[in-house]
Amino acid sequence: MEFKDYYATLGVPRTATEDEIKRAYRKLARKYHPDVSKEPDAEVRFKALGEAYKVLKTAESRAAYDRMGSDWKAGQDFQPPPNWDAGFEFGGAGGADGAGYAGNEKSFSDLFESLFGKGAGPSQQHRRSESSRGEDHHAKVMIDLEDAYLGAQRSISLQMPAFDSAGNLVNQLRTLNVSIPKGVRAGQRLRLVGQGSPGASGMAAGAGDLYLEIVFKPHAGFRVDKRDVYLDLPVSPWEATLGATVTVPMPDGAVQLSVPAASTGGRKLRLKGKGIPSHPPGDLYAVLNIALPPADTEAAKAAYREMEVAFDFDPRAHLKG
Amino acid sequence: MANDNTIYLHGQILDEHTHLTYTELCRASALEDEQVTALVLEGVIEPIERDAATDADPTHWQFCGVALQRAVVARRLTRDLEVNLAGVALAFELMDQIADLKSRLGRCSKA
Repeated sequence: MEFKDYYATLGVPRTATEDEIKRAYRKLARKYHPDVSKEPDAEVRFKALGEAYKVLKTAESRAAYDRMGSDWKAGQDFQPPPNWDAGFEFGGAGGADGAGYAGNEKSFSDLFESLFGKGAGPSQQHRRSESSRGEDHHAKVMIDLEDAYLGAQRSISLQMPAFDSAGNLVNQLRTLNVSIPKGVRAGQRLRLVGQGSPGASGMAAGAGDLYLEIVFKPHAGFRVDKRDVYLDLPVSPWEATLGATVTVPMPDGAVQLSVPAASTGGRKLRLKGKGIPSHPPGDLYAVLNIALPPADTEAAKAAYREMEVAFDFDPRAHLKG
Repeated sequence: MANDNTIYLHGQILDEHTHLTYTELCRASALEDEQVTALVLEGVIEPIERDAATDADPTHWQFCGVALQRAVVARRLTRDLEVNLAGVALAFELMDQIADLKSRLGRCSKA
């Protein structure tokens, strides 16, 4: 397994005080919290921070980790020395749990699990007396914008805590085939009744629910704002000036759009009801972007010169006093 | 796409048309009852058709699907960053402002 340098993860020296470790964790946790952060690898970084802090925040687990020595480099292949954990018992659980990131990745590294046991990870705290009912789980599912237009069927893999036959809590890889309904929007949740943790009695009826948060993969052509969709539509100067009917690619096909004469760059043309087909459907906006043809041939250069002669056009007339 | 007899699970979209009861929201967000009540008092989530009668007994509150999303984020922020609910409310206000600015940016042409 790979050695993890928990001190490097938190950016503190091995001699850091408890306060320094806490401060470093807090600062980085605010920066990389997946609900707040705009960093692309926030979720991975945040999990690594959580694991590092969990080990280093208490004197006992930090001492056990330090006992493995300081010569290891992150990423190095590693086996814990025998009796590394003598005199130390890792009791508590916390960190990630059902309502956290029951995401598509493991919550804890191999190193962490070998040191502290798998059960030290996701906790199954039953908060309510009635909760012989299984826990609800939350996970993210990445879909294409096209899926929201057309509906889709996706196979998704989730790491979910479950009890094995011996009654131990283990992380199980579950694959679910899910229908993504047409009209779904980013940030919405899809509730799958009974697909959370099984109830304590193993009865299907007591199973928790699974909530899938919908996230759109970034799209090269379209921008999404709630239920409305925006598209930069390049048009030639003559199409914009004289008017034209142009073909607009849509996530669910293509439509003909009439560009009115005398359109200027940045003009928004609305295609009512052509946004995400939720209830009510959003609109699609084509934002005109006037593209100049390059003057890369003699004929093209001649055409530009003819325009110069044909127009008495001063684009900076309004700047003159 | 399904070209065999694979069974696909159908879920329910939680949107502004979906109503969640107080108990459902507590359970799905894994928040304690009093934390949900506190989130309402801080204005982070808003019950539907709130009035004096439902305020007298919060268990009668109903929420729309969007409230769950906010409740789950509120729970993670309090747990992971050890901020209190007033801090969470402030974070939401700022995040809402950022989302608003970003969507305004998105409406403009990138070119």
